[in-house]
Amino acid sequence: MKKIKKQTVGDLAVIACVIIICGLWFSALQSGGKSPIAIIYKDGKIAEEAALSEDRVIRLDGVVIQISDGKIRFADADCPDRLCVKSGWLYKNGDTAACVPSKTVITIKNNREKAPYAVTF
Amino acid sequence: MNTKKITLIAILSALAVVLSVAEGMLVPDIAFLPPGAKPGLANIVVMFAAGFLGSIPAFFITVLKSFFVFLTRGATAFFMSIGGGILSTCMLCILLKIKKLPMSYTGIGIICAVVHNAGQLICACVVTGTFSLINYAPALLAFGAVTGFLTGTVLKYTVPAINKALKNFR
Repeated sequence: MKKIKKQTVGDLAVIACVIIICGLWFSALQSGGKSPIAIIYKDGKIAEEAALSEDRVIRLDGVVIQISDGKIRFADADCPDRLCVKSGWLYKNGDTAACVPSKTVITIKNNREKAPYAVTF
Repeated sequence: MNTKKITLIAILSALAVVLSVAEGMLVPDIAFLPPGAKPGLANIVVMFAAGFLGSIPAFFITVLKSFFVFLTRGATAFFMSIGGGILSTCMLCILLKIKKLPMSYTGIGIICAVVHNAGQLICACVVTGTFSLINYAPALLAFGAVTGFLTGTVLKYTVPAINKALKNFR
């Protein structure tokens, strides 16, 4: 009986750790300002920094990326799983989608270029 | 290594492969789930193998499952599978070696699932060469904790029954 209780304590400690870390991490990602930009990485290098304000379609080797209505997504991909397409639209700071087979990653960042002006004024 | 043990490893390997294929059909494409996240039901089998047969059979099953992934889903999926699998099986074997671990299979399951997802994320970062995938981490951590809780708890309540069934095994 005592052993079972001790085990439960360990389980609860693990669950509590996970909840705390998740909570902190999610809230850290939530912080952010306006005018996010999408950074598209290909083979580990930045292939394109796209503003989300202008609708367009970007074609890279193996994937088709679509920007529409302030959001960005993988519209199509050659890979078998197509997990990147299933990731759907990205628009918030920290939103990330990846097509691992074609080594393409899209991540949303708040536009840092505007920050100094805000400080100056 | 007697015939009984070899047979049991073979059965468990087959079970792990089948579970890893079947679970792909179970998960609906819900938007808020991290894409590609799966319940990791095969981890039930690996955890049982590690507890009942030892570390080496557990690693054997992990590698065999990844090899099956290679045959059916290709090199990228294989790399992700083996990265997560080896890391989580290492963690599992270490945890099981600790005497008087204040934790049941539920806690072990959560830790292993989280470590598995971490391993996969590291592999994905290495393959794409892009660190920004770390943004997936919180969602994978939360999802891994839920699935690990489920798989660990399933094992916790089935182990007594399996032990009874395999009473004459040794």
